[in-house]
Amino acid sequence: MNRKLLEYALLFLMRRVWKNFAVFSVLAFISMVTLAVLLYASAIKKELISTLDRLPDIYLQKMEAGRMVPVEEDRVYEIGAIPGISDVIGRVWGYYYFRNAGVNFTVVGVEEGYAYSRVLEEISKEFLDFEDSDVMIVGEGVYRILRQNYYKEYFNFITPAGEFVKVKLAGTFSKEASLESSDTILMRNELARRVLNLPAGKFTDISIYVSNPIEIPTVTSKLRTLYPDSRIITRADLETSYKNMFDYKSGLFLAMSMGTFMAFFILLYEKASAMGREQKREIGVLKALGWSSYDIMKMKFYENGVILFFALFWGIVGAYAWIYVFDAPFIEELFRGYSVLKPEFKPMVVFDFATVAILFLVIAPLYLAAALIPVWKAAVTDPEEVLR
Amino acid sequence: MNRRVLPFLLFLLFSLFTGAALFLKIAAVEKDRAAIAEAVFLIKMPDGSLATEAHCIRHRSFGDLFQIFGAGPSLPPYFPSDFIYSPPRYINAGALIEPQTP
Amino acid sequence: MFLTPEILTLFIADTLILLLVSIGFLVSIQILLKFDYTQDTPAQYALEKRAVLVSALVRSALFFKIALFFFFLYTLDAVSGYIPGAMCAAGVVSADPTGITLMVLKSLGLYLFSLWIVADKEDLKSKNYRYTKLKSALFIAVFITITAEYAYEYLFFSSLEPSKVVSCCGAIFDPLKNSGFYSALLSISPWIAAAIFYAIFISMAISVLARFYGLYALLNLIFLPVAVLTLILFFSPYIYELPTHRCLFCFLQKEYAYAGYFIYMFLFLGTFFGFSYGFKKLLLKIEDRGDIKFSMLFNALLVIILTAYPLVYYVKNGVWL
Repeated sequence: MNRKLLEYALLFLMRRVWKNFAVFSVLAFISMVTLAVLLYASAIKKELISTLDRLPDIYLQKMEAGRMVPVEEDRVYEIGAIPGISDVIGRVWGYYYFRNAGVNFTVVGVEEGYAYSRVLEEISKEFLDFEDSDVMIVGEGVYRILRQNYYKEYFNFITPAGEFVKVKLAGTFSKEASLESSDTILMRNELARRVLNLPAGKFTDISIYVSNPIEIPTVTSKLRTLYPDSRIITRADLETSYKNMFDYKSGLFLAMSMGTFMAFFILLYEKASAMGREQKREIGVLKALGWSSYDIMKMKFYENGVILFFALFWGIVGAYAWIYVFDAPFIEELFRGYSVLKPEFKPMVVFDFATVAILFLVIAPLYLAAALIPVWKAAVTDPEEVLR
Repeated sequence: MNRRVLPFLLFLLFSLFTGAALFLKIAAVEKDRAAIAEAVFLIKMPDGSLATEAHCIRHRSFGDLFQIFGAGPSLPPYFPSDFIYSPPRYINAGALIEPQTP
Repeated sequence: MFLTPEILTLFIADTLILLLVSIGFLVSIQILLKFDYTQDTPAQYALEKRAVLVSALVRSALFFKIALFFFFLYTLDAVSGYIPGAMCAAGVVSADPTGITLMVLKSLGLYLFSLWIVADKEDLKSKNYRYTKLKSALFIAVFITITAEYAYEYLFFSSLEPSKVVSCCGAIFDPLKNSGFYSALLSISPWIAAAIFYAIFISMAISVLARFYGLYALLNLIFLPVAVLTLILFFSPYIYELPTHRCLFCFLQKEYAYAGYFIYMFLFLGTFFGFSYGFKKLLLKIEDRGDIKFSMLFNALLVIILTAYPLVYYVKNGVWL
């Protein structure tokens, strides 16, 4: 690092500040958009993966003719007898289509007798007596939709049999957990059975807890032999699914931005090649004063390096501001479906070195490749040629 | 140091200051992870509630490649550009997957 | 082939670098054929100008190559989540026979690239283009390595099949599950491996003290494979604190504080400066003691880090693995 040379490069840069500013702003903008998408994907991924250890170890679903069907209650007891399993819970859940708003709610039942109230008090905003009668706890998105449809204190479910089931609103999930619970309605198992028309003695699926995580594969294979008609999903499967979902999408986005990068490449190349007479003269004078081609290239690299550094810096700052200060307008649409029940959630904060490295490794070689040859051409010009 | 580099140094300081302020502000509002964890523990369902419409199911991790249309996570015949999701890749490997040794 | 951002980034960056390096290759061939410092024809001047371009180009390409090498390791780790059975990069590398070749080519490319820079630096110092032809010849080797690496990278990533089950590192580094020479290497007792490792390091130190610098450079050549082998056999169980866990890649992960990146960086720097001394002495006929200092420094750092793991483990648990 040569300080005098750097100083000179800065002065050189500042004399054409607006031309350089154009390159800087295009570069910063491209970096910002690219990084914002990658960042948003990794924020969702991080949040989902961080919740993974609170999920059951194994899910067991019964398949019939390719469709998921309810599981018999007997299986819960049979599975409980397998050694190594600490807890088996038959679950009742399903989707409820609310026609007025055109959205699907996820209705989830909880088993009675579980000491949930402490947990409920923590997560729900306005806690009523959950153990009392037909009550439900809803996610933030459901709450919003219900209010829009003037259901302030209760909601009338229409069962598949055509009856109305009036359920009181007991509370809402905390807004923090909006990504996980926005469309969820939590109620007791019996009520959920009525709403979803699930007969007694059947469960939607079974969740299984294994005391020793090393035994999960063994338990899985036992379950497979015991119930050949079952689909078994372990927590490791869920993890892969999570990772895959967002990597695929952000990868696709990056692939599609390739055109932008190419356009930028051409812009840079043109800008670097079209050196004005003034600039050529200046380089000629420098060479006549005894600068070598290497010195001039070095100076040019400092100049471009400074632009690159600032552009990447502001790209990173802009991306973080876009996502965490302005709550990711536009980008969130990329990752969400088109349903009305859009969760309003703040993405989890990630300071991900790898994502920034991706940005750097895409942008910097591009910049280098575009600037190198024009810079070299300028640096090797003969002084007498330009000064004449 | 050349005096004419001063505006540049000011810009550098301004950049660093803005960056630092922004990152400190962002880092200060850490999400309440306990609330999220408790909610997940209670609901016991995977995936985020990002898509809840009729043809894009919410709990896509529960489906697999061989799921019939409407219940599967990939939904190729409808609007392929609408919600791009590729299901767990190793699903084809099925029982070939060896138990992982820690 | 997966479309993850990491793999895409690798390909975008590597394609650009290949593009730059091919320009350098064309120029290098011209220089090899026609360069003659004693002439003063316009063609000779043009070639001298182009030599400037190659130099600038390779220097910047090397910078990215080093960054990309570590990013490649990171990518392997990131991809291991998708491959059944793979728990870390080792499983991914062994998923296809091209993986091992790719790793070797990548490391070779780094060493060649860096040696080229050494030659280039000396060439610039020499004022009369003494080594220009030599470095152009060397550049052809660099170019072939880089091109082969690019081809192998494509083959490797396109052969990654998510439905193909690979072995995890537990199996790859287990002598019982392998055969032939490789298996024999793995069944060496860890204590013997450690003894050889330290013996080589001590003889390196002695050769520096006794000023046998040529011998030192030569020992570096042996030190590199021995260090890798000892990492598998002796040090990795201590890093993981598990007697059965031998792996070259798992310690790149977060759980082990990314220690692997430091270990490999020191190993590269230490051996590279050793090679650099030998290279200068043999091909450029220059004696440069500075390289020996750097080499010894980084090698010593590597040995200190690696030695710390078993010692700390012993102090904490009171037993050797």
